[in-house]
Amino acid sequence: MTELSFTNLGRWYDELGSSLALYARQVGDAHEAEDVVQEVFLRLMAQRRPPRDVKAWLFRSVRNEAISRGRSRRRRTLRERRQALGRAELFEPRADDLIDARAAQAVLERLDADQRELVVLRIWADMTLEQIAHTTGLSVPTVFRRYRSALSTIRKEMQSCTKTTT
Amino acid sequence: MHENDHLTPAETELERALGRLTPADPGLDRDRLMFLAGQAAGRRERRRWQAAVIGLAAALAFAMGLASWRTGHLPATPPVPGGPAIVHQTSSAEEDPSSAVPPGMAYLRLRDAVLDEGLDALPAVKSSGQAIPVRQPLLPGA
Repeated sequence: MTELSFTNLGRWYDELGSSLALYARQVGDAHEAEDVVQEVFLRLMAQRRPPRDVKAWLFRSVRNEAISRGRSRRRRTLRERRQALGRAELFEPRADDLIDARAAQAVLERLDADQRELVVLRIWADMTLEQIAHTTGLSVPTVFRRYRSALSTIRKEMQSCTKTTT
Repeated sequence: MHENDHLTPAETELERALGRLTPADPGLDRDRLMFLAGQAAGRRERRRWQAAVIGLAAALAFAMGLASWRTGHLPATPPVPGGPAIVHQTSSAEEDPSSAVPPGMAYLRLRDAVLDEGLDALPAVKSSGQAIPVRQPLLPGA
């Protein structure tokens, strides 16, 4: 079990901050992602004992916090949320990207929310299927089935956008 | 990636390609986060000390109150029938009021006598049965 210290807090932030914020944008309001992530890190430091799986705890807490904040702002319409999501850049374009970052973002945004959540957790948070199941409350077979379905959808959508791989 | 055995090579390749994308900077202020975490930890430590001080003060107040209550409500010890007789050691001055001397002087006389004549100079204690010599009564009213 890892100790709850400021050194570890900095390390966890450096390792997971970006993917946590990306995840928060998928499950909640994109504009509140930063606040959500910060709140969850502070809540982690307030724990008496460190969670057994800090990574899974962080992502699950981000999910709960983002959903909770989203519920308190129901007056916002889904359309407004989608527009906000569209304005936020999810990825930093780089020269060595195998896939165009904006095209990938566009494809991601067309996925169902449930599928998008699984893809983000699996690919950018590098979580196991068990960790994803624990975070989302789904069973492992369901996670795997939906994830494969999402990959299939992405593949179809990306066929025209994929750069030439070497 | 994990559990890739169940994915097709094409799916694995897509995973790898997507994984190369770097999530955008979350816009979080790392220094601010560390500052807030330190602030929260300080508050938590202060609350812990406050709780300890309040607890100790409450325990002290309770102990003092209990001691005060016991002093005020301590019952007088009744004489035990059939128990050992309490014999008050009296000085010769008490036996003979005519030879009243100050208590300090009586002690000095006794001391001189013991030094000169040994322990035989000590006055014999008149007692019956098992006597417990005491210098003063245990309780003022007894």
